[in-house]
Amino acid sequence: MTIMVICFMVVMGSVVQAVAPTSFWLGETKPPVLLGIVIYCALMRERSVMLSAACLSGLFQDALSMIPLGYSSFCFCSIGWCIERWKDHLYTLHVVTHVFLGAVAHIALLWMLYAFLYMTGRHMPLNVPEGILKNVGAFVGGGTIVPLVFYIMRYMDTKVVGFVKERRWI
Amino acid sequence: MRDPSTRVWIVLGVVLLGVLNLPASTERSIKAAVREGISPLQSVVTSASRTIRETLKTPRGLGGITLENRRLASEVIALRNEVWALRELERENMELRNQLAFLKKVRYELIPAEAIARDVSGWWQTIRLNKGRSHGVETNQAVITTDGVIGKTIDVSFRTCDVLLLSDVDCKVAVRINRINGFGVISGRGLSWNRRVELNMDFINKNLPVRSGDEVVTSGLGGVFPKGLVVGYVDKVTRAPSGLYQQAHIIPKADLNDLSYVFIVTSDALEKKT
Repeated sequence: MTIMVICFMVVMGSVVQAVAPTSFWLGETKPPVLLGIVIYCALMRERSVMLSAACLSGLFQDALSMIPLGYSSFCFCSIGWCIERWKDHLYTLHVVTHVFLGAVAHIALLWMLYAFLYMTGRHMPLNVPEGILKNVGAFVGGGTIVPLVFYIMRYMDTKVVGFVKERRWI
Repeated sequence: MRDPSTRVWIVLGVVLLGVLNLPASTERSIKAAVREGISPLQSVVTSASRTIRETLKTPRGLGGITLENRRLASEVIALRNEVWALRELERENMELRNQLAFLKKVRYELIPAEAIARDVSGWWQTIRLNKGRSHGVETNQAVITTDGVIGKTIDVSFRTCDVLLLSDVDCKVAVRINRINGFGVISGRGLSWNRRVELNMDFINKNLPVRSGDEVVTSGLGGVFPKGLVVGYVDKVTRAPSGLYQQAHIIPKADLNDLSYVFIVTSDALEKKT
């Protein structure tokens, strides 16, 4: 059931991310719904579930954009691993944690993807003001959307499906 | 016994390495499969959000509906007269072509399509349409609205296609300034703070008298965009930093921020002369 919930959320998340409007003042960044799913799994689930969610989310994000397949999966796995590595030192259910992690992780995702695109020559030129706006957009988008996604995922796990396992040591 | 977490990392590493090194055709097939699977859901969500937007606009727009109706009615009359005059010109054109022994004329067919999604990453200016190969769509076909050109198809799957918009920096269009027959190339500059789409036209002959308000149309060179499709109007003209040619800022005629229904231009036969 956990996998079904994650698959359902990844599909819905990618649809929402595709149709959501963007703003110039937020650097034309999209709401990080798929990243929110990965962060939830990193904080609340086993490592294998988190990595599966990261790979699936990355696959959908790459397939629905012009990013080469695998780039987003790698970025999501890296970010998810970092969060999962340090989650015992965090208040995993506190909204401040979600806001902070969402903001920082979205900025990290943005520039990791840009670095990959730059290395393979598929990047688009970016000047300093545009870069600053992208950072602002990533910060604001990550800080607002990730807590919301976390709440929805937790609701799905506890009320809809029945919470199976919080996490276990691997 | 091997630590389970090591196994997880090994499997993950192998999967990622495999995915990152997939052949281009396999990558395209996987992307197409995901897009085909998700496109019905995207259509439903886009239609629902459009309906909600229109419903919210209705109370505010009630007062203007009568005026809009009158304006549209007079526009219909004017367009009907124009169509009648153009039919006469077309008939005359066909007669002259027959006399000059032109065998075939380029015929363009329009495939209507609906925009169902935008780029999910936010890095590119693209939209997804609900028509694909099964409807006759191919790569590198011009996409227009009733106002003008909006972009070209770049990635076509069985039932959907992606369109690279004029506002994207990677979209280049060979164009011509109608009044003075000045050629150039247009490329996108993204969106400004007030969501105005900005286009740059480069390589205009420095001796040509380009003016603000000049109409810019596709030149037909480059093989993607048919000749004569309206792109936009000149906003302002500057000299390139090198001094070798002129540059112009172009305002596109079509509204690239609000794209619902578009047309994909397919050409039928090429012109031949004996």
